[in-house]
Amino acid sequence: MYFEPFLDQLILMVTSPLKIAVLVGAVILGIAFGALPGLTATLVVALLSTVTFGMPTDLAIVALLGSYVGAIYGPSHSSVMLGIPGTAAGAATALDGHPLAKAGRGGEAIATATVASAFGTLIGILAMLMVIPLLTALALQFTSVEFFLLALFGVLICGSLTAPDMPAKGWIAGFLGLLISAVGIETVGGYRRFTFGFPELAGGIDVVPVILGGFALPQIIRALKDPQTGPQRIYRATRIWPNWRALLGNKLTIVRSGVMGVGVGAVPGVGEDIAAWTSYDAAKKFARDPASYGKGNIQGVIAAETANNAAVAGAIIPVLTLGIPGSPPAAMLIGALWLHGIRPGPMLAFEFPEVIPQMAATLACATVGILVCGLLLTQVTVRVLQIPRGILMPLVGMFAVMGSYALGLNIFNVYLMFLFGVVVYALEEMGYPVAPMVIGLILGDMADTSLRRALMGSRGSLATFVSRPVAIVLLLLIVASLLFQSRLARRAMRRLLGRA
Amino acid sequence: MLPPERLRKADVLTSVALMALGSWVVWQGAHMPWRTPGRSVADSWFLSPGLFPVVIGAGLILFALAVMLRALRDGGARRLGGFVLQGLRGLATSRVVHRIIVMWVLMGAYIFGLLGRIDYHLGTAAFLIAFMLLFHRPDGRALDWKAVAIVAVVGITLPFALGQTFSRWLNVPLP
Repeated sequence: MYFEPFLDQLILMVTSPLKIAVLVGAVILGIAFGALPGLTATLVVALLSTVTFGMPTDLAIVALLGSYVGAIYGPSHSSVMLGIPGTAAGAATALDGHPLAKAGRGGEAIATATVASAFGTLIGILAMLMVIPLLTALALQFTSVEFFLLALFGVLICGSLTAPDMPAKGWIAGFLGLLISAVGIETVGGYRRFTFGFPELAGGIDVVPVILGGFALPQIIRALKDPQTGPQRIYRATRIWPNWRALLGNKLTIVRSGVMGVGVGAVPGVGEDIAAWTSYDAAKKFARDPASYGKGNIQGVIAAETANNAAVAGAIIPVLTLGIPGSPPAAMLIGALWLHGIRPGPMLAFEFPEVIPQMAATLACATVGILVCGLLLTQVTVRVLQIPRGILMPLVGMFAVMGSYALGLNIFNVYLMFLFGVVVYALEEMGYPVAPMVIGLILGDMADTSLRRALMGSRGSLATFVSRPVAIVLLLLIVASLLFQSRLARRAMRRLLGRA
Repeated sequence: MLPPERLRKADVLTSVALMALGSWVVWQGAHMPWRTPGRSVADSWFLSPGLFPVVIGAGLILFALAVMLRALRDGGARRLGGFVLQGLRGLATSRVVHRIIVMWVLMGAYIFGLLGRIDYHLGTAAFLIAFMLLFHRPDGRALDWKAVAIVAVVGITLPFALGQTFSRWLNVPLP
């Protein structure tokens, strides 16, 4: 159990003025990024991963996690005051938060969302401390067979759950990510793949230019392509104080949303937005007056905000135990940890035993950070939200360019970022999601080496993939996730059940 | 995302492109070393660098085929030529398409034409000011002198501030 080292790290953290200062700065930056439509948690973590490259690892973790938590909480401000969520994670909050702001209860909605977010993060930390030792013990039993199947499952399930049009498009995006990961000198035999004579590609493609290109540039285009975008009406936040009666009366909703947030967050690549929607949907189903949802029911705000912040810790659990990201920002977190020489996975607890309790302690302090900064900065974020998109978006472009370049001081990364920006924009317009591509890129190397090692262990026999219980379970999950998306399979299943 | 009817037509075209990409990846993988003369494990097919690309290429072909079948079932092949012509006509007439193209051109010009070729502050300021002058419309109205002044101040000071932050504090040389 990590409770004792967690408390040690917590004491170390709160007694270090530098860490607290960095945390506060990161949380504020995260809130601003989350609140501003078009800027995302993934983007802020990606930009900070290059900025924090020269920092000591513990300080970099504080900055990255502080901004991550802040950016997942931040959209609640724009969702309530503007009715436009800064990110998809805040979209569920807007449904009930904005009608509350229209009714003059914006301050109450934001403050209640802030407390719910803090509860969500705390539930996530608790789950993290309890689940990680168990999952690490299980992961240590894994062989290359399980790691290959796990990577494949991660890519496919992320594709299934994030594709807005059809699951096959999500799977294609995931496989494109795997293809990008295959570029460069492969690790088993040292053979150059898909480098086309460019020496810059020999080391492979970094995740930062892909994420910045995929998340920043298309967002700039989407925000400004419509010439009709007029001024937004921003409601004033008066009496910023949580609705304690609603919070106390929704203890069960908070616990259920927190658990759902952790669970959904831990599914590879799915992330905070789906956690918020799933939890909102569940709260509506269990509500006594579901018709009031979408018209200013504070319970909707509580459910969505608890879940999306609980999903942060949920998304970090597979990062720390399996090296598999639970969400796009968590994928970027893996990239940032790689830059610091830390390889997340089952061996992390042994190679860097302080990292897991330190992350939990940072999340706990970030919880206090969003409580204090979130409530104090409500009026400030309202002003930040008034920055016109025509001014803000080119600045995002400037930051994305600098972020890509700062990684390795390589202008080639900026060219790659532009290329990925164009490709991702075109793909997204045709219903291909970007998240599976990022997950594929992160998991590609693991999938490649594990596949070949697994086959080497069995001397080329495919029977190795059905020789171990966990492998069989993973294989069944892969087959199920593929088949259940197929109309043909669903029709056959319905017919079968109908006959029974 | 495109509206459903246009999306299915685009799906027919993209699935063909993706199947071509998948085939090319399989072909590339097949031409990587698979087996060298010898009896050691290291010479076996399952350690070939081409194995993973072949798996990826096959997956791309398979999934692209699924997208194509769905698109064809939903009538994506109907009046496909008209859809392509409409798209080409949009390049000339649609204001939204023009704005998208101008934004990409501006970003491309900054990245490929200015970055690393002229002073970072100068190039970035030129990019920001040009972008903001073209796309910043305060309250949906045309730019007035006040808005131009704001654009100039932001466009000049922020690249300088960012450049100083990276070069002085973070010891990252500018491109």
